[in-house]
Amino acid sequence: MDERLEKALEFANFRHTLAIEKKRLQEKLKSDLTIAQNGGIFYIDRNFLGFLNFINESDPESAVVLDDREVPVLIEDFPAFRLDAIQKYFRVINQYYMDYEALKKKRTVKDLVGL
Amino acid sequence: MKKGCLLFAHNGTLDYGSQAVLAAKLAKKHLGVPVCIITDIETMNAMADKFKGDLPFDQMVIVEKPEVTNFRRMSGIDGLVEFNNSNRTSAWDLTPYDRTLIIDTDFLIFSDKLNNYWDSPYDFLITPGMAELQEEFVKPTDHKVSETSVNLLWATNIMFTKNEETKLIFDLVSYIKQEYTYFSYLYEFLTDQYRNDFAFSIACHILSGHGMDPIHGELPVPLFFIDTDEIIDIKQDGQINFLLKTRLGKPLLAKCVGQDVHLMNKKNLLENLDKFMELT
Repeated sequence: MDERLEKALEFANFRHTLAIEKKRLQEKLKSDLTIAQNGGIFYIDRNFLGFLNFINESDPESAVVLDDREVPVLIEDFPAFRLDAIQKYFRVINQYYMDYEALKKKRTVKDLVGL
Repeated sequence: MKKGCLLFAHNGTLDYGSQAVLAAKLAKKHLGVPVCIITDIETMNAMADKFKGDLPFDQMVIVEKPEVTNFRRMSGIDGLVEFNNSNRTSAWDLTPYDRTLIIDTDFLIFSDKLNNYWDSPYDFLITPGMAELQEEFVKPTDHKVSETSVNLLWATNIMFTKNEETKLIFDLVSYIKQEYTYFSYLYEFLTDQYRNDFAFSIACHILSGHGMDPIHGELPVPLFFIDTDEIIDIKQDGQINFLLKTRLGKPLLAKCVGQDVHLMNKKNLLENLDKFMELT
């Protein structure tokens, strides 16, 4: 095979593997960014955190929040729930950042998959 | 409320009993719940013999081995492989728990995500899909019963509270299984083999007022490795490395850590059983 083509295909293979690894990290991120309370499941994204801060402006002890399936859920200790959500968000996002940054430094397929 | 995991295992061409032992150990480790297995005497004896009586099941329910009517081709195995999935509908009657999580024996739990769902207000929850890492292998029939039919729900994981409403679901699934050919015409799919996924999808569709108001909640979508994907390494820290077959023929490498996985390559799973056991 022409060496130029061989190198190109090797690079294409690396990019394909990189895409798969990025997708895996994204699936993990989606899965990790959930919090459960009183039977409700909430996906912690920027909108959700903004909404929690909006509710927090009224300084409530408890609040009813719609979960991801639009089921109303009573959050009995709202300040604690909000703090849990924020802490979880940053914990997961920081880990994702570290994983993503580590990925950027990989140059071979073996490095990408940790072989 | 008594909660626990439920597995079904009946040995045939493949050693589903050993798969069940692994799946149960991982479920106990990561979810911290008891596990019950529905099995037959032959499979139970095979498991007891292989694992020298050290079985992870808190309860074992022995049933008559169902007649095998399902066969499929599997990667790495010559000829047709029998698989026995026909008695899933008996879960409602046989479970010893008030709140049950049914898992397939090829569904391996490596996280505690499913613990978020025990307190869900939904009496019945099911997995709405699978996360395939290779987009090129995602087919319309991974999301629908057929290209012209209803949404596909995967019976790989089901969580339910034992009550009259969920009994309705399991009874309807049992009826659909009995009249599978009729429902295949109605819902426009092929009947080359019975699939619990199809039966549960159709049951949920019907009981939701034919799609008007879903009766089911959704469990998290696990990573999905198809039956041509192969495990090439399992590390002590739980990292699993896979070789993925691609349409172009040249394989790709992938890894997975701390994520629940559904492994279709059962022969390969069993070949790596000892290494998987070290993670339990």
